[in-house]
Amino acid sequence: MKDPNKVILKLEHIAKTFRTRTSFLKGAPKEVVALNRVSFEIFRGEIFGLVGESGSGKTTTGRLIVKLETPDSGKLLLDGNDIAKIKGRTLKNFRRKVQMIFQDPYQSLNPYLSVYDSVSEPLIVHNVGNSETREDMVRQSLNAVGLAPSDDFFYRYPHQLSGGQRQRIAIARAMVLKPEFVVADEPTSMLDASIAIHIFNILSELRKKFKVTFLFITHSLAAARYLCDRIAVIYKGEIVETGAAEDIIQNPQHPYTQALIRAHPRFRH
Amino acid sequence: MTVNRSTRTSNTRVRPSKRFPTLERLKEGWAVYKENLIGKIGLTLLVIFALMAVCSFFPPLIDPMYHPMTGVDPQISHSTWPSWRHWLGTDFIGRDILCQLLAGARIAFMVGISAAFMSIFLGTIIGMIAGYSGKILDTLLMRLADMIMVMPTLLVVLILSSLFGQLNIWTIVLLIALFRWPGVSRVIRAQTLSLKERPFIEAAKVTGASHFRIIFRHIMPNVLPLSLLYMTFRVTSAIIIEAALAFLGFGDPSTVSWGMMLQWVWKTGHMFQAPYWLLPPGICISLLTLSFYMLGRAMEEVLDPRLRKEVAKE
Amino acid sequence: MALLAVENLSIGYHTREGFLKSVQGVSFALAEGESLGLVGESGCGKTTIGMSLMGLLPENAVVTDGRILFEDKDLLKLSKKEIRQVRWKKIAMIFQAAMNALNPVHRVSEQIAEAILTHDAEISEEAAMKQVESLFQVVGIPPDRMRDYPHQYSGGMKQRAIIAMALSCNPSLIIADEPTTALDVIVQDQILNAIKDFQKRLNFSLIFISHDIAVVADVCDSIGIMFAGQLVEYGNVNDVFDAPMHPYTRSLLASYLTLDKDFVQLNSNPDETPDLVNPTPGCRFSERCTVAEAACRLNTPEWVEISPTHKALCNQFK
Repeated sequence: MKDPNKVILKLEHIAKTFRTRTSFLKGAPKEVVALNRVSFEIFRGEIFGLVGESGSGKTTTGRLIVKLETPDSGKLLLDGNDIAKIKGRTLKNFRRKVQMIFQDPYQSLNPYLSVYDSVSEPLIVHNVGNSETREDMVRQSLNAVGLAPSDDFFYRYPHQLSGGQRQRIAIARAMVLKPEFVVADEPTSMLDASIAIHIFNILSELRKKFKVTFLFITHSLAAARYLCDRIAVIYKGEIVETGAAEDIIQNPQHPYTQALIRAHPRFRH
Repeated sequence: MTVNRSTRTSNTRVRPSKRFPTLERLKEGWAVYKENLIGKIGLTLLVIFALMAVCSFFPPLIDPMYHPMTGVDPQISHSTWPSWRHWLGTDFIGRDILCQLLAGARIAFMVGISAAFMSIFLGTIIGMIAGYSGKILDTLLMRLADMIMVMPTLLVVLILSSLFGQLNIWTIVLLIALFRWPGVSRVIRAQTLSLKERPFIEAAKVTGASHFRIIFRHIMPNVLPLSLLYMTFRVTSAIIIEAALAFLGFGDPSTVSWGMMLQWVWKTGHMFQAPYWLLPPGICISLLTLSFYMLGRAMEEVLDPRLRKEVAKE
Repeated sequence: MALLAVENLSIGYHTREGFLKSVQGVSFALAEGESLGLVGESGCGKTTIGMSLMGLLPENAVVTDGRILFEDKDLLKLSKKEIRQVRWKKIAMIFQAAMNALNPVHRVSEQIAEAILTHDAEISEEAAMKQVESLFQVVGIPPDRMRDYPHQYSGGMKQRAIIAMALSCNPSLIIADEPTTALDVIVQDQILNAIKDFQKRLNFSLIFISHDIAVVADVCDSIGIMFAGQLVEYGNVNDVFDAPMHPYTRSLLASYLTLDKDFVQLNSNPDETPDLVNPTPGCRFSERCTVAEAACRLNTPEWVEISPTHKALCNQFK
């Protein structure tokens, strides 16, 4: 039985630099430091928020965690194991445990795959179940994100669905293998506010039901406040403040956090 | 927790079975296609030619003298003008020209489509692999493509046939395919390069799919419409190459193709005396290639991304 | 005297699926110097209204009913030439995703100067450039950045340049369509303050289109809430926010996450994008409404005046 307070993911001094390609007009290639010695820990079963503006490095962090990019230096530890150089079978097992929900629901589903195809894909890739048990698992996953009757959605195609529905499918796909850790990269920034709330609620329920840990990447402090237990604020590739969500918002210590809070549109009412 | 009702519910609870999306896509595509005048003309012409090809089987059954190769009219043994017996006249040994024309349509379709299909098959696979792998494999494959692309197809096939004697029609088809895949592969590679960066491909990677699976399960369906489009253009070049080969005397002597008919007209000195023999095959070659081309142009509009239905962002 | 009066405007689009009734019977008025916010989710018709005011509706759009009275002239009846006189000189627009409204191969100052020169036959090139200089000062772009190309500007600066272009011909009405959607919170705050500031100083009327209700609350005097092509609530911003009447307005306010107040979850049905080709005969919001009754689906809702400066389109409050 795993200790529920144990750290599931730890970043130690992660650094990543991107080199932009030379353009005919511009001369020498520019270097952009995306992440500069970023460190934080995420506890098992919590929803951890990473809040920052565009260019802060928050998306890069998420991509590094799911191994879509590799860090230039620093350590990434999942359950204490260094995942930097894993290959083959170990990498495949890693992929079963760590999944991602992408920002753009209009682009994260293959337009030529039906909902059933998209959600059952992880099952097929990891050779889980047979065609009957897979149907049940897909059904379960679709129900868990509130798409019912799930059978009606099986043979629909992404272009027949709204943005909110597509994002739920993306979540169902990420959850079908019951992963331990999911990176949600700005899952609602392309959706309207009313739909966004429902998505947040789904994530919250999934955490309770399946005991999965979420890294919630966002530019909205308010969303992080609603959904997350703890928050880290990232600015220009560095973590400037970490702590419990409510603490950070009531007592921001770092000037950048304070500026973020001041700039947030307020109702006069 | 709130539950979402699907907006278009089906009335029966069908046990989920794999239904084809193609039917619905085809219906959508047809709706767009219908509006294109060029496409309609092209399609009409194609249907006429296809009917011709199908009808080519009937005349010999009616009377053996209507066989395109061996059917010699016992009463006529030279070239004659069109008559009730022979609607387009006869060639230099008394064979019916119309039957030859119909048989030629069959050959043209066969050659055109097989050669196009093979070159698309090769070109798509090579293009996808090159685009997806990048770096060395990509460079190697594209340099190979470049080398083949600059070689004049017709010339090389001519040289090969003069070296190896008369070529079988299927060998000709294979050669055309082997020389025509580079054009397709460049386009497919470009498409693959842009698809590679799309979130749904990254999602497949994060899921743990192997490269093979990503290429054939995720990239290929997105690339196939483009392949099919290019197939229509390849058909035109295949038909013309085969006709040219036959005309120059390097075709398969056991097949009656339009190019072969033109060769006979020329070789037997009937070029200016028998317009009923000279004109039909020439016109058919031009019209068939034109109709495939028109089909291709109209399909381009169907495949244009603006057909993709996305929620209008207001 | 109203500068702008939209009366019963209805606009539809011819699409392959049928005739999309995008805007239905929308009426509102705007006085000089007043600002109106149009709020609604994607597809509610707010951008279409903005485009119709500028005369920029696409080919497949048809105005099926209504008038747009600007300075007492019906904009819908103007010829193409007359519209060009009005557009930009009297009515200017700050486009959605303005990032892409700047031509990447021309310097920013040149583009703005060109806008000035196009709409004013008498002005000289030097005078136009001088005007650009003063505009840059107004919007807060440092003068040494004038000769840069758009790609050298940050998102916030590009937006300021777009605002400068909109202000360049001294319009009496500016339509801002989601001007800060793509910007970060801090930059958004700056741009919103800038817009408020310019409006006070230059006294133009403003129509601010957004899906973000808080942003509109910050900037505008009046607000119109739109759903499925119709205005469902309209009035003074304070009145509407203090006492929201229409169920949709309430759900919008309820789904807004803040940093200070506690969030109260309102039950609602998500995801039902309204069908604009065959809209529900009664109230278009009835499918999604949590307090809808059977009658709501059949009877067209009527306007209920809650106060002289606040009305809602709902049969429940009669």
